[in-house]
Amino acid sequence: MSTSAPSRKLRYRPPVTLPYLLSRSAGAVFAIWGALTIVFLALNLGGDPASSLVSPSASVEDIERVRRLYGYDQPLLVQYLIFFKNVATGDFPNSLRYATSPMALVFERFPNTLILALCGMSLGTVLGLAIGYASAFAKHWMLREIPMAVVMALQAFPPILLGVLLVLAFSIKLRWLPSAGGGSPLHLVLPSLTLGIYVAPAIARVFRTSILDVQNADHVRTALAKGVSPRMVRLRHVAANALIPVLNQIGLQLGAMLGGAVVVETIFSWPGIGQLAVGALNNQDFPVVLASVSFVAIVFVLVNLLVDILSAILDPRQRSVQ
Amino acid sequence: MSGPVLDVQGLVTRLDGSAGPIIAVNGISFSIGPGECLGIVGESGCGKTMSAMSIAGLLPEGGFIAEGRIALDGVDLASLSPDARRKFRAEHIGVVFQNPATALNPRMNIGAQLREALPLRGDAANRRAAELLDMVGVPRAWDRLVDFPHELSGGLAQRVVIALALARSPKLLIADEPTTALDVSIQTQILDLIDAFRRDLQLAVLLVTHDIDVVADRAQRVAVMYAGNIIEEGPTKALLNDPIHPYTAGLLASTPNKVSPGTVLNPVEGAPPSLANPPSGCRFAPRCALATAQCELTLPAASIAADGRMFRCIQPLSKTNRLPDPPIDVVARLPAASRVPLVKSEAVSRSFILSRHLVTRAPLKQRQAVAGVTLEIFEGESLGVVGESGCGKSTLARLIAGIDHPTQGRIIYRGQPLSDLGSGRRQWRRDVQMIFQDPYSSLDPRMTIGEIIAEPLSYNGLAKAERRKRAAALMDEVGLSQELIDQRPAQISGGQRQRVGIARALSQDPKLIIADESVSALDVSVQATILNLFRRLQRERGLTYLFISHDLNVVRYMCDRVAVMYLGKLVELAPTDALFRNPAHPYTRALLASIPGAKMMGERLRGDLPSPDQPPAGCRFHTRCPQRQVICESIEPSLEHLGGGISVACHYPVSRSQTHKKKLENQQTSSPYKEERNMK
Amino acid sequence: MIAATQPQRGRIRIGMTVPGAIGISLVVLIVGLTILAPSISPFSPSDQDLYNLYAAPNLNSAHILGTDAIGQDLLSRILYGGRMPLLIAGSACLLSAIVGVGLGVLAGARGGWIDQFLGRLADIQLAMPSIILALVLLAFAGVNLINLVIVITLATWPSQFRLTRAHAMSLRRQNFIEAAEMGGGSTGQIILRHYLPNVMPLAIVTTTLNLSTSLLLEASLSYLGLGVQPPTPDWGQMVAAGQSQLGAAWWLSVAPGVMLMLLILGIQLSGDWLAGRLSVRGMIRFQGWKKS
Repeated sequence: MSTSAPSRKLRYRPPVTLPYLLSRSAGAVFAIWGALTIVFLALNLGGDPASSLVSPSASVEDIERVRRLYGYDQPLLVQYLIFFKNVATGDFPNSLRYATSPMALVFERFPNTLILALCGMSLGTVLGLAIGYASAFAKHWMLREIPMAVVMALQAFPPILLGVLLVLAFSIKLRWLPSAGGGSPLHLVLPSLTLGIYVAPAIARVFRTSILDVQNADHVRTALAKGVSPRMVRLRHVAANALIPVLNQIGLQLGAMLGGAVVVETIFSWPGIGQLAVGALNNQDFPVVLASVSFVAIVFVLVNLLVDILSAILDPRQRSVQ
Repeated sequence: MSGPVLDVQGLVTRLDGSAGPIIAVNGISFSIGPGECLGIVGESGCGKTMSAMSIAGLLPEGGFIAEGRIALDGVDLASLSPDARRKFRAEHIGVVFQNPATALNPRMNIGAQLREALPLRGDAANRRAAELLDMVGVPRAWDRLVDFPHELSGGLAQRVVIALALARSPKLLIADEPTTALDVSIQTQILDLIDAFRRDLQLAVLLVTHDIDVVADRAQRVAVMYAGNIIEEGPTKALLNDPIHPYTAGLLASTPNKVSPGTVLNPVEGAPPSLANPPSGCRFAPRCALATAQCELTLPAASIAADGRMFRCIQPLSKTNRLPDPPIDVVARLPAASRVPLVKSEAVSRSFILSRHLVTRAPLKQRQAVAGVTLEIFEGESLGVVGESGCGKSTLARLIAGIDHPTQGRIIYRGQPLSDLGSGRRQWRRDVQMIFQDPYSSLDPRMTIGEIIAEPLSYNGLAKAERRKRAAALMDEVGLSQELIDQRPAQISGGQRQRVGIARALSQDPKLIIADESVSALDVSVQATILNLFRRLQRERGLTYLFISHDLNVVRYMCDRVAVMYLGKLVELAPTDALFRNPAHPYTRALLASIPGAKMMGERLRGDLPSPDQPPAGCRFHTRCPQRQVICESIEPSLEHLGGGISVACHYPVSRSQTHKKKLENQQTSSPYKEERNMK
Repeated sequence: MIAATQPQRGRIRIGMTVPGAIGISLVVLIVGLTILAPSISPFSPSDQDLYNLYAAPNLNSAHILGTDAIGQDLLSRILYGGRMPLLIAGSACLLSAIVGVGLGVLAGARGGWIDQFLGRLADIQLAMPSIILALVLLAFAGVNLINLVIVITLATWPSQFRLTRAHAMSLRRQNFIEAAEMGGGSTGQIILRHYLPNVMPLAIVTTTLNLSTSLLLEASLSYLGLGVQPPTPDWGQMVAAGQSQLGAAWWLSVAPGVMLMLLILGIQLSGDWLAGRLSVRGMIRFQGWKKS
């Protein structure tokens, strides 16, 4: 009955299908629209947008000029469209404090935020995954229980307390690391550490429970029956499958992580977008707030899209979902 | 090559769980030779899967072999180091699991999972993997290697699992309920496949199943397990025709297929003992009609009967020592039903929208679950609806029950369309009740049994004390002890839950009861007691039944008329006897031939069920029909009356003479339990 | 096949665990101290002892925990400093529970266009990270108590809505809902009789967990200067104020932070215990496991 198949290449199947990409991208466009609409609504909530976008000492002519320039004299619906156009072209009134285009400031700060986010997230993810894996599989009970207990306790630490404690320990008592500012890799250590510790507990926890779930799945028994070694079963059939919920969890917590990042930037005066926006808000520099908030909202949606695509690559079942 | 492939002596398996240690398997012994199939049967929780997994080395956490010897191909497994033992098992044992949908890793493609089981690498591994898939009958094997498990149907996935099991050319194949999750036509294909490998490769097969009919067809020898022990073991034919152990006999008397339609099921009452705290003597004694004081003292030792059968019983059945007859209040079939239609479905269709256009929201993909079904239910009759999964039988039941609404056509109750019932609507809602399949999800876990049964009465504004009294009376009627009235659903068994559901339906004093797979989740002895209850209630209350089931044996036993559905269409409707004797539609014929233990031969169903989302044009069955003609591919046959209450939707229905000829052939070739089936 | 042993559904196990007991004690203690602040704190939080600036903690002095840069008593400020966070986070949490659970049950039980509409609304909300939402709303609508409560409510209701909706939808597929329909119950009766009692355990647990999220958000906003404004004491704001004197008087920053941490820890431990006791752990484990 057996036929020997010809030696040819296996059919190529892309890790993500085009319809999936399209439907997810459509979702992202929808999300960006929703987020920018909220920003627009908020802008109009405070009364006359033009007068809140100029300095309090501005003359009536100045207000009138901004109002005409950014279309705030038009009907609300037209304003709405003009707002989208301005966001798309990065056209905002000048910063009151720096007297430059807010987008220039945002772009200047963006690399710093990116570096911090990448370092913090990778640190937190590696830490979380390592602790989650150990807590499920380690041979010695101390390795299984203690790191997990520590991480669970850390979950209750607000990032503001964590940051303050790290500064106290490493900058003030030990004098190893700078407490604030940017510019050198050393400045990056404490903010990344704070962000990492903030992110790690959720990942460790989800990874652990999902490993315990997958361990009881039928396909693990099938793999053992096939004669796959227990170590490979753990890695390939349990841990790898258990990553799917972790990625979903990361996707759902991106918002909270972003909040953490803004706080961390402020604690350590890290020159990123978060610190820029908070500083601008406290200085009533609303054009900068508007620009940074719009920019971050868009980037956030794109990062979400990326996570979605990653989880589709990891989990073939999600690809066929539209 | 003499001696058994597998030899098990005195195997004891312990399970140390959170609820304390449990002896799941209590000293079982058996052996299987090359090319032989041993069936292990028993109800859930009797230790049959634990026995199989002990041998395969796949016990769950906390489970271990406490005593006994397992020799595989002459090698005592205990003599090997743990690592060597693991490798030896992987080489010599292939395992097929119950649920093909979960037995494969959803994250990896088929090829990767097959390659893992092979000692080859790269291109050679791929070619061997495709060869294996081809061998188990997966079409387009090479292309399938890059498919993912969720893209396969249940039947194909189970073939892949079998390919995995055979990848290392094992000597022993352990099949743990390999077809329980599959449709009957697919079940036959999978069992045929396992049978073919058993013969061609001289595999020893350990077939674990709850279904006596499957064992009757496929195994040369049978071991019946009860509460961790094998209580009877011997050649299939002898054991099933002439059981020695009272439990074996009880099991057979509970199986609708093993009693003729006119007679009554005589199930073993009660439930198996808890393995955490088993009775000290014979474990079956508390449920055994023949038990004596002696039975409760010691666990019976294994005895050997004259024909070489092993049994554990000190009161073996014989001509003089027989099980008592069933209680008399359980009455067999009713007199002929009336011809007054109670409910009629008039060309009803139900479509589900699966996806919509992103912008316009217009439906893109639809599934027509029920497509233009016209069906009358006569007052006082039992009408059965059968078909494979996705045929729309449950949707039809929900439409008739009025908990779902047709997208086309209408339901007519006592001559009035549901939409025009007006003031009669309240009465209709009380008259038509449904019993669900899942005894867990049909009861609100937060309410007590009494509250659940009387819930419909509370909507009618009955006072609390009165409701409780009514609930107690209803519990009596369905055979539930009144002590359960303040318990919650989690505290009672599956069979008891189903009785609660029945009592709740009866509280409305209904005319029509729709039973949607109401017994299919239950063990066979519990199923039999519920079927008996349905019978008794029908006689006492003059109920009309609509029975939805995938189990043709149950429908045959319970129903006066049977409707057969395929992909949303009604293909045949006939009185039960006529349908089972002379099926007119080729689909009905193939379906009947697929029933395990069926005495009817015929062409079995080939291939998979087409997706209900895109049913074939013309006659929906034409892709699988052995008698397909050109016209079937384009023109849909309508339901024609053939006389004698038989209707069929087929351009070329099987004529009476043809079936007659078939029947003659059967009488020549078939014996009740064939040693082997001719499948070529 | 259905085995004789099944997980016990619907039964409430009564059992206190050590973490649960610690959690509840912490919550009771801190909330109690905060409520009783006017009667137990030694000073008014805004009293300035100008002869005692930056006093170190000293059990024998009048200022047990010392004083801050303008001579305010740290112990009093910590006791009072929990009032605003608890008030703001508590009201936001309550509001979001009412909105989230109410709409969630409605969407899950009814389905159809209501469900579609509410689902989209929650999606839009989730596309906007809560910190960004807070920044933009507080910037243009002004920082005040009401706006803070609104911002935190807006940030937390979608997750509660989605969890409740998912659970209500799974209930809708349960046969007992259909049985109630066939028993003659109206939609309103069925929601009262079946949906609400079955959703309640989940709602209790998600509300508990939401309280810790809300407190965290309130503290972050106050730390960033967008929350409670001086002179009203607030933990987050106190951490920020004390940060510049970390070298000289670290306790000014650390002490209020620790109070916040203990409260959050207590809430999380209690929530965890409740989740186990009400057997809803499986439902919240992978919050909204699938995005729709």
